Amino acid sequence: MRRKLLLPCLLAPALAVFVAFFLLPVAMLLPQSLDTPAGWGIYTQILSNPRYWNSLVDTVGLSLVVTFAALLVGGLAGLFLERSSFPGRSLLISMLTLPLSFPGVVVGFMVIMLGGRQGLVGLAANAVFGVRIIFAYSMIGLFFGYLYFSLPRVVTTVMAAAGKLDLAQEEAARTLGASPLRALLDVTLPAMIPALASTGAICFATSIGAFGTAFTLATEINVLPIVIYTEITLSANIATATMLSVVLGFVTWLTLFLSRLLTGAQAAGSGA
Amino acid sequence: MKRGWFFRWQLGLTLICCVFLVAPVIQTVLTAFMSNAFRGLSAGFTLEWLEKVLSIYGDTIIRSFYLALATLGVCAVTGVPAAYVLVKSGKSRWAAMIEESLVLPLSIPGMAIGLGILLTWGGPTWFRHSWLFLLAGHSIFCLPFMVRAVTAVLRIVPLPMYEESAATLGAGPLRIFTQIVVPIAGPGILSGALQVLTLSMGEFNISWMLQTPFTRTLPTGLADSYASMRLEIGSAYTVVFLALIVPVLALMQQIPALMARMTASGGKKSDTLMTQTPVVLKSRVLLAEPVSIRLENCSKTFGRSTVLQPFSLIMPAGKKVVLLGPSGCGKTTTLRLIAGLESPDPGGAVFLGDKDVTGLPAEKRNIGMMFQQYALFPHMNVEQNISYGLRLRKTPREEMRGLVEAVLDMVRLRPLAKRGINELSGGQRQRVALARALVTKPRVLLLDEPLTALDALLRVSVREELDQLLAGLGITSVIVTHDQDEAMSLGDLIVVMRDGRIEQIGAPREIYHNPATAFTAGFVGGSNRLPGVLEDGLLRLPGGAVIAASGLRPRAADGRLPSAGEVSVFFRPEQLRPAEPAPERIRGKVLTAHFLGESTRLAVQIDNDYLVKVELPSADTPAPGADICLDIAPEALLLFSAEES
Repeated sequence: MRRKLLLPCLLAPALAVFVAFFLLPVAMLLPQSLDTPAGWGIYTQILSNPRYWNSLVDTVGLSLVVTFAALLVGGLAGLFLERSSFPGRSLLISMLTLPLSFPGVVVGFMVIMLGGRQGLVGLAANAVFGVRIIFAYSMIGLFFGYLYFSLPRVVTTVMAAAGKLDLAQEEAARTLGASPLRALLDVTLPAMIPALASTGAICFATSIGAFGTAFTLATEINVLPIVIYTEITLSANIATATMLSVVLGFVTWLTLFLSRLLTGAQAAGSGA
Repeated sequence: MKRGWFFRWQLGLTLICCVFLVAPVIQTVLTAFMSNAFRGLSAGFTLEWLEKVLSIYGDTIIRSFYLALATLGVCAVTGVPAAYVLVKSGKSRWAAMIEESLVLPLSIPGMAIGLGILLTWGGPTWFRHSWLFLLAGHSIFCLPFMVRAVTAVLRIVPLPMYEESAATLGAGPLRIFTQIVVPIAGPGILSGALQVLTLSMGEFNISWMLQTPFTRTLPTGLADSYASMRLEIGSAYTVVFLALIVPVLALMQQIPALMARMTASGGKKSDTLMTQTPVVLKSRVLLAEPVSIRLENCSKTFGRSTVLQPFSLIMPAGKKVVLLGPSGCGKTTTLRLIAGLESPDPGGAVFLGDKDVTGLPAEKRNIGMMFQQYALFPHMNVEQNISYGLRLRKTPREEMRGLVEAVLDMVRLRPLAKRGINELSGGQRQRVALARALVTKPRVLLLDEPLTALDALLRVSVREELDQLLAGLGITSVIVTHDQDEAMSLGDLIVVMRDGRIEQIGAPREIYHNPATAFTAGFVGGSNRLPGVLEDGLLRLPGGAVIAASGLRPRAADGRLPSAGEVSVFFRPEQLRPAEPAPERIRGKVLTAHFLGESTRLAVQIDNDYLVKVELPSADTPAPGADICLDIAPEALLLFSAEES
């Protein structure tokens, strides 16, 4: 019957694209990474290699630090912007959300503009203290780069979540004797946990896979995407690169999956 | 509001964030146009860097632009239908699985996806070397955003309602998708499209894996220019990128407004009763010869729950038939069986006139249906909504215009023909829905709770108009309602339903005065109910009343009284009168008295356990707290055996 066939027909094109360019390729990764004499052993072998292991630890550690920094700063700013009204508020909001659509490489360039050899921070420090500060091409630069694309995400999510909160609950806490800060911690924060968890997971996952930013800033820093890049370009070591990609993919997927499990929210990253 | 240190502290933090995010952008723009970045603004401005960028990287810019458009094309063609299927499949497990996996590319880093595509399709073929290779990567990366944006919109709008109303107007499944679903999903498609454009234009991770020296895109060019350590060139190139995406971002700001338009009810205007001058509606609309509706042995089961027990029913041609009952009684399901929106369980059949339409889908039955929430299409104006059914039937333009004008006159909406649906009041929407259902000259008219969505004040006047209109048209109409006043005033015939069964069929008077069952007696008219005992030719009621059974009225169904034992006794509030105490009268105590103008409604407590409503002329009513004795004529009592109710 024509009626019954319509729905599968409408779904078919998307499924075809999906299978051909996602399912099949991703399925290829695992066997390809095992395509060495060591077989599964390559995973233990490589992860016991201090270079790869350190890079994994560095990447995860940096992403965690960035995530918490972004949640703290962006959370406070987002809550503040949603809750208060003052002249210039909408300007601040559009300024804070502008970088949402910057690709990772551009984010990297913004950090160069801030902390590179002719960076704003360096110029200002030179003018005031007479010292040159260059941080763009280091772990600190990477931290600011990741923070740069994480902040707008946290701010927008927190604003949306705070907008749905019932202000009366916080007011009730105040009438019961809680100080503004206490009411924030006891009433508002618990209500915001799902939003914070999901946006935090997105920031973490994006940071872990942030190839563009790292590529622009720090070809010498051993974060995982850069290691994969050097394995491919310098050593043409496809098996190792694939294996590291599998690890990278697994860690991000796991993060997002866990956050969705915990919050029930739609959490998904987007490459930076 | 008092603004203490907390406010200033938060403001300061927010400002620092803004400076952190925006200062480098400003610096980039300045650097791109300054002649000499070292000497600063004093050196003057130049377009030199921009020209250099265009000459060195011009091809990447153009390629990225076209690539983004092509990606958008792929994502729209594949993503929009997929989103529709996902929303329609609702909660089924495989739909949830497909939806989960369609957003999976968002959870895997672009590098890994790019590497996988390279391993799978990276052989030395023309495909590998063309920009189509990049298109594949970009499509898989952007597709989830399109699917998510479209499903988000389709999940807020009442999609099944729009689909069903289009079907009753004569649209097949494919037309419903292209003419109703796609336009309604418009804001979602637009939002998805804008996301796809920005993402594709800025995509680096997958592109870097998949590109060849001849298929470099803007972001890889950007990375290249940054690596060259020439700030001016890098800045100018970044400015080009920003110039490409800023218009897209600006458009994105418009989406919430568009969404509000599609999710209807926003901005609904309130009715002014002044405009509702009661006019006798003369119709110039000539309808097809009315036909009867026959349901034979129809039943309906959804999974394990039986919504309708097998029943047969004939609705005579040209009559107004009301299906009356509490929610969940099966009345709407019955209406949907007639419409063809549901099919009866095997063995059941639906006839319109002599024609068996059981196997026909809704769009081929030529019926007119008005939905409870009207289901007016938000992307069409009044006239377009009304003419939609005619357009589906390929009615010639001239004839169509005449018909639309005739129905617009009929419902007195001619001046509002070009209005959008959101600019109409509730009463006006109701009339548009009615006009749309009638303009195709349907064989029968089906009205699902036609007045429920209206304000209480408007309901009575619209009810009268509707009654006159339907009577004037002489069309067979089926009206579903849970409101007994509506049923009484609109129906030639009332079908009382309960728990998927027909309780009684009859004219309004008959139903009111001779309810066949205890349920009907309780549901129709504000009835009182008391438990009684019938024995030895006497009926004993609470409050000490003892009434001779010989004066009682036998049941209409079989001309007899219920057998002796416990019975339920029904009577109406206006049939009670205060009187001097006597053995056959009910004694009680006035609990409350509500003054209603002409009459006063009392709540009288009987034996501590029962409440009886009494409606008396307001002239002499006892005050709350007073003892009262109530007289009732034996023939006004309706008796049903206790197990029956």
